[in-house]
Formats: sequence, structure tokens, C-alpha cells
Amino acid sequence: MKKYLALIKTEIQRNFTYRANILTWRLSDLMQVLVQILIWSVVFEKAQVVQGYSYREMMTYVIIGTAFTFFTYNFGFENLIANHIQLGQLSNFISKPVSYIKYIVALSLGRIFIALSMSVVINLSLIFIFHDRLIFYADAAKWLLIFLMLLMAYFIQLFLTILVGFVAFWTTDIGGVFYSLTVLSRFMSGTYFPINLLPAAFVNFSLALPFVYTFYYPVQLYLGKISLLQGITGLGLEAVWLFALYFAVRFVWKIGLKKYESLGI
Amino acid sequence: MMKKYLMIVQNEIQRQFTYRASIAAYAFGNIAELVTLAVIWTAVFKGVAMIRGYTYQEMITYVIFSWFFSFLTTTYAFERNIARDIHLGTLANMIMKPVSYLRYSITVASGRIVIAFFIFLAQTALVILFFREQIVFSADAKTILLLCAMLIASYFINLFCSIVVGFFAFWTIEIDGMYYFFKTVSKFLSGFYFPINLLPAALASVSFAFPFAYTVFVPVQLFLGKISFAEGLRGLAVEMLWLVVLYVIIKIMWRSGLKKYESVGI
Repeated sequence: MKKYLALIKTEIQRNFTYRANILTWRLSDLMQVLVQILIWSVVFEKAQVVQGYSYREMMTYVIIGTAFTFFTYNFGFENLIANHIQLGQLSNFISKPVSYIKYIVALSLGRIFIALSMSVVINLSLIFIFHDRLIFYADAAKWLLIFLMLLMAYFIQLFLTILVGFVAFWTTDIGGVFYSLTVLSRFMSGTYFPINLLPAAFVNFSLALPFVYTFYYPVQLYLGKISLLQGITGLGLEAVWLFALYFAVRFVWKIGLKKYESLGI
Repeated sequence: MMKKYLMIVQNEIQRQFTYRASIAAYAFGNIAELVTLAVIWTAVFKGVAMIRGYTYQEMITYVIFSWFFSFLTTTYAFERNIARDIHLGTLANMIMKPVSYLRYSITVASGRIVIAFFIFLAQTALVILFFREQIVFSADAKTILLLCAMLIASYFINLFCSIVVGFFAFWTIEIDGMYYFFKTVSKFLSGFYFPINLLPAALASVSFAFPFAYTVFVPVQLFLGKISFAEGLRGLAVEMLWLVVLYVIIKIMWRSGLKKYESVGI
């Protein structure tokens, strides 16, 4: 366990080199939230309710929801894994007494530290600025459930990221897959808008995928739009996905290694 | 003279074929960005007939064409190419050869987008077919000609901006964050997400102080017939002005950047 703690610590220190870079990323995320706040503010000038959302509920959806996402993002980790594979650094790992997947998980924890701290500050300021347009709840059972959902969501995102990174075993560039999966997962998770703006058939379909449980479900639970029981069912499904993705990672790793040639070493 | 540049374009197109799967994969993400906006406005217009002078049909047309114009003129993160040339020291090769780096990179950028450009055109044809009932077509031949001129200018504005952002690599070790920030801000100011006149007046006037509104918002307004032909011509003139300004900025950055350039590792 100690070696992984050392890893997390070094990664935090390494990331301080890029503090300015990380800050500009966070400011861009802030811009995207502002875009959503603006759109909905304009819309609600005319309408009282959009698909069952009042203005306050929608603002809560956007602002509190965004705050939730930062606990689950791993900030473009795909590229790092793809680099390990394509630059042949992976060879270092497979000859060391350390599991690559465990290594990656530990690394990601160290890597998000600065970005997460910055996001917490930015989001708390946002919540403070818009506090009179938000809905606040303090129900211990709900919060516990939300916390568990977000914790699992982090690992779901991480495993998906690792899978995208592993595409590099077979292709020379993962940029397109990375971009599309990011946009699609944000779309399907409800980050851009509440997915129940879409037809019911689509919503039912998306409930079978892991994405809704990383954003839409926790926020709906927070807003009281789904019951605690539905939340627990969601948590169960999320756990199933977590295991499925974990085994997918193990499986792809195994067949990827067979393909791996460590070209150029 | 011209021939060597044609050669570069040709090489770059061939090189891009290596990445055909990755380029095609971008198309899924593109579509999701468009569908997001279409869904939001469709839900919103169920309750109201008009928002700030836009009917549902006009808004859907706006969303589709702002998406179309903005991906048509994108440089697909050319910033990274420039930054890579600088960071990896490839630039040292270029400055010793009898070829202008600026002209060289403009040429590479043009070859680089060809495949993505055609995939995107095919994609747009499908999108327009799908939304044909919701789209307002009104532009005449003269307007379409003006639109083409504006879009060509938009491409070069985007390209020059990419070069400016890329040149920051002379001074910093990592431009990714800056690239992403620039991208988000410019997309927002260009009117990609929604018509700029939905913004509070003060913010709208801020966005007209930058070139981006002229690359997306103004052309779409022209297409929708919300501004006159003369106003469109004025927009094109502003674009030209910005091209000159950006060119001068590039020249200045290039000169001071080269003084800083150490070509480490060579």
C-alpha cells in the first residue's frame, strides 16, 4: 500500500509544474457552466416551467450538478495511457513488480488533486454567487447515497478512460475516440441538459447505460425528483456497471498485451 | 514557387490517411454537440412561440448553421502542431530551409483538414436532410456568394488565431490548457452555443469587439435574413481588418519568439 501512497504524492508534486495550465482548464469549464446558466436564464424569462423544471430547479441542476461532476472527472487521462503504450514506456511497467492497472488508478488519484481543489473553490464561489436561485437540501440518507454514487462514478469514468486509452494498442491515434466518447458520455449522462427533455424511450434506453448514474441520477436525487428507493436501485445498477467495466479493463489489457510490440525499444 | 507548397499539401493529405479512423471518430462527437442544442431548443419551444425574435424554425436553422459554419472553418487544434514544432525542436529544421515557416504552416494546415472537411460535408448533408422540415432557406445567389467569402475569411481568422495560441509555446511548456480556454471562449463569443443577441447588451457588445462573432454569428444572421446584404458586407470588411491585425500579431510574436527559441535537445 505504501508504494501507491508514494506514487500519489509524487504525482501531486509533478502536477504543480503545470498549475497555470490546470487553472486555464478549470476556467474553461467555468465558461461552459456560464453558457448553460445564460441559456436557461434567457429561456425562463418566457416560460415558467420547462418539462417539469422550474427556474430554480434548472439552475440547481446546472450548478450543483456541475459541482458533482468535478468529483468524478479524471481530466483527460486517456492521453497518458496512450502515450505509455505508444512511446513504449509500458515496457518499464510490465517488467516491474507493480500492477499497471493499480498503478494507473493510484496515479489518477494523485493527478486530480490540484484540479479538484481548484474546482472546489470555483464551484463554491458559483454556488455562493447564485445561492438565492438554488435549492438546498440537507437529508443525511440522501447525501450518503449521492456520495456513494459519485464515488462509484469516479471509478466508472476512470475505467472508461482506461478502455479508451487501451485503444492505443491497436491504433496510432486515439484523439477522435477520446473526443467522441467524452462528448457522448456527457450527453448521455445529462451534463448538457436533463435527459428527460428527450423522449421517454430514449430515457429508458439511457437507464441501461452507466452514464446516467454519474450525473443525472445523483442530481435528480438531490432535487427530490426520484425517490430514495429509485436511488438505491440506481446505485445497484451502477455497481453492476462498475464490475462489468473492471472486467472489461482486465480483459482488454490481456489481449492488448499480446498485441503490444514495444516498438522502438 | 507554388509547386513546393502543393507538394506539402499533398504530403499532408497522405499523412492524414494514417489517422482515418480517428478522424472519422470525431464525427460522433460533432453530432452530439448539435443534437444537444437542438434538444434544448425543441423542449423550450414547446412552451413558447418566440424567444427574442426567434421562432422555433429560425432557432433550429440557427443552431444547425452555426454548427455547420463553425466546424467548416475549424483548424482541428492546429495549435498543437505549432506547439509541437516548437517544443520538439522541429522548428530548427524549418528556419534553416529556404521556406517561410508561416507560409509552410498555413499550407500544412490546409492539407491537414481536407479529409475531415469532406467527412464533415457528408455529415452536414445528412443533418440537413434530417431537419429539412425545420430549416428556413431564404438566401439568394448574391448572399450565398457573400457567405462563401465570409467563411473563407473565417477559416483564416481561425487559423491565424491557432498560430497565435501555438506560438505561446515559445514561452510556456504546455499550451493545452490555454488552447482549451481559448477554444471555449471563442466558441462562446462566436455565437456557436446560441445567438449572441440573447446575451445582455453589455456582453453582446463585448463579443463584437472580438473577431469571433464575425466568423459564425454574422454569417448565420445573413443566412437567416436577419441582417441586410450591406451589413453582411460590413461584416466581411471587419473580418478583413481582423486578418490584418492578426497577421501583424503573428509577425511580432514570431520575431520575439525566435529570440527566445533555444531548440533544446538538438
